[in-house]
Amino acid sequence: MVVLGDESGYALTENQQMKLAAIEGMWHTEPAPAGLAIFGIPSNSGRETRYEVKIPYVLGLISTRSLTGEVNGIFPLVERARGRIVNGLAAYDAVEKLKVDRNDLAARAAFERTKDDLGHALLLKRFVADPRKADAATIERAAWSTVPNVPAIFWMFRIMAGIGFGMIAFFAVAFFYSTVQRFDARWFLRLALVVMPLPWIAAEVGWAVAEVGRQPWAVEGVLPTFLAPSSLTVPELWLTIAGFTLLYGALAVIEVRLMLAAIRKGPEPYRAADAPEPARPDFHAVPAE
Amino acid sequence: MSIPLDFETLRILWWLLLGVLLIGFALTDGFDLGTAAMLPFVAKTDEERRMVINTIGATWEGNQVWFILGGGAIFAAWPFVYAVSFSGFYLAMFLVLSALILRPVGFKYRSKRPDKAWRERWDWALFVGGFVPALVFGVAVGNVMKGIPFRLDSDLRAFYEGSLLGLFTPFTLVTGLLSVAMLVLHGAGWLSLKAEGVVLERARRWGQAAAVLALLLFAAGGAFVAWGGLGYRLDGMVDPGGPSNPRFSTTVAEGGAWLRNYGAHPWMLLAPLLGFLGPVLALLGIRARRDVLVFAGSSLANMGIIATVGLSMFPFILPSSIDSLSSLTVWNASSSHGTLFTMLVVTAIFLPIVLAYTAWAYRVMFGRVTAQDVRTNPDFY
Repeated sequence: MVVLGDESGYALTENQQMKLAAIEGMWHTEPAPAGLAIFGIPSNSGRETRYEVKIPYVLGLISTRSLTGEVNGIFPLVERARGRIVNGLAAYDAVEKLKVDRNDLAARAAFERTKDDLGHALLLKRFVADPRKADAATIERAAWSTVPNVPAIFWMFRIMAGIGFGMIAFFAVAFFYSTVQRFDARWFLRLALVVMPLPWIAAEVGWAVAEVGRQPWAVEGVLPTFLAPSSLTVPELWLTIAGFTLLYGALAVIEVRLMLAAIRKGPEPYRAADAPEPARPDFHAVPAE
Repeated sequence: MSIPLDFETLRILWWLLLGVLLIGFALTDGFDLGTAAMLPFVAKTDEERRMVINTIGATWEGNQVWFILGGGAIFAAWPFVYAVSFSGFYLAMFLVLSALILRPVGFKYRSKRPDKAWRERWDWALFVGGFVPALVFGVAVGNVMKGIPFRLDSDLRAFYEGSLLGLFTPFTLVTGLLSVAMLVLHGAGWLSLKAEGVVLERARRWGQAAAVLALLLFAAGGAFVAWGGLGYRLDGMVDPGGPSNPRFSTTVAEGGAWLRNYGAHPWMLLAPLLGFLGPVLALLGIRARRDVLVFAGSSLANMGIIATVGLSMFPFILPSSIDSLSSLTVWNASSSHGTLFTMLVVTAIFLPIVLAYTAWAYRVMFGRVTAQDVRTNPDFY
């Protein structure tokens, strides 16, 4: 699991640099190889992470797999987004011209040059109806809108990774106890019961990191989330959420009742083909429903 | 790499494949839906009901995959159609899903407890799981033929302006009931092959009624298409290999336009002909107690009726009833040339494999489910 996590972290370095920077609460690019934050209080409004505790070199090593590769911070990434928004405006303008005249060759050429940044120009639609009328302050706002909720991602990621390493430690202890044939360490058995929901929590939190971390994009660099939804109304969505919850809730109640009935019934008593039934004085059959 | 098939050919092939998947769904899962919709009526005692349930118990899950495959094919080959229909028919889709969810739990939970009231409730849940999807699918097809109230803005974002209740009009009720009749007929054809005794007799009577209803409703649907002011046609020249942008072509609403294709290509009349011939064959089969003929007739009815819808509307897939620049057609709503070709190669490899193992599974499970089986087979529901 941790190996897979490392692989997807490496992929982030190439494809979703903003998510990686947010996970690390890293506002400025550090000299390579960058350190890995294990603690900090990041703030979106202050654009800084206070009380940072870092392990030197580690982030640079795992995300670029080299000693010299740089991991971009949030400030330079916002700067890059600003450049792409400005460039994307040319693509947006070309699209609007092509809507009027499909055979406008100049517009088509301009579009081919700048089409990779069209999605960034669309970010402006959140603030102005026509992105071409955006002023410098609006472009600045749009550029900063590419920064997701840093504190949420920072902490959710640490919960997920912490649980991951905790599970490794837990199974190391389990391996030790089963190797020495000791199954009566009560504190460990209690712990085993308590850790049961942790993998599920890690999966949910990790999913939230992935989804919150890619905001404001539904498709990174192409389609902003606020332009992506369908035209369904809020009551329609409530209706189906409530409907599915009720349906599945009812089915869950039925399922659990059936399970309890099966548990009360107990297992079929084991009987070898020709062996006589063993005497079981402590066995009281519970009548099935 | 240059693509060995041109864009226009690929679009027609994917339109055909959409039809193949819909017909595959109707032919296989169709009899599951029809059989479940008849369950409380053709079987009265617990043993009879278990017989009916076990005629479809082993195959319904596999059959339902055609539904998922159809959704997948629309997603990959006709993304505009996917976007408009899935969010446009959102509440109808919710209704269908809720009903379909009752099927797996109905099959599995019913036999978990012996008491009568428990089993009776699940039998009605299975009825809902068969009847409601059959009805809603038909209503949806009727609405597609009428035109859907959606428009695409200049950024090609879809906006739907209809409501759930607006989906139910006289014409769409005819198509909805036609769908129920056609699938119940198919279910009766299936039970003719798989059941025995009193269940078989009742299934034959239901099949008879369904076949007559299917004939009447199909004719009524035809009358609506001819004189009910339904239909659309494309205005001006359209490039069949042009870019997938619905706003490049203009649609005109025109009563009777869904009959134009039959004038231009008389061979297409084969489809409605089959749609009428199928129920007639099924009726003859029921009269003569030739069970294979009943099933063959109900299968032909399904193929003919579905193909009639597709051919009448070609090249339209989803016409818009409120905006002349939004209708989705074979020529303007597909994925890219490269996507269609890649998907075609994948389909050419895997569809035969799926068909082969499906055929094999049916061969293994060939034969009637008898009352004796229901009493003794420990693997039955």
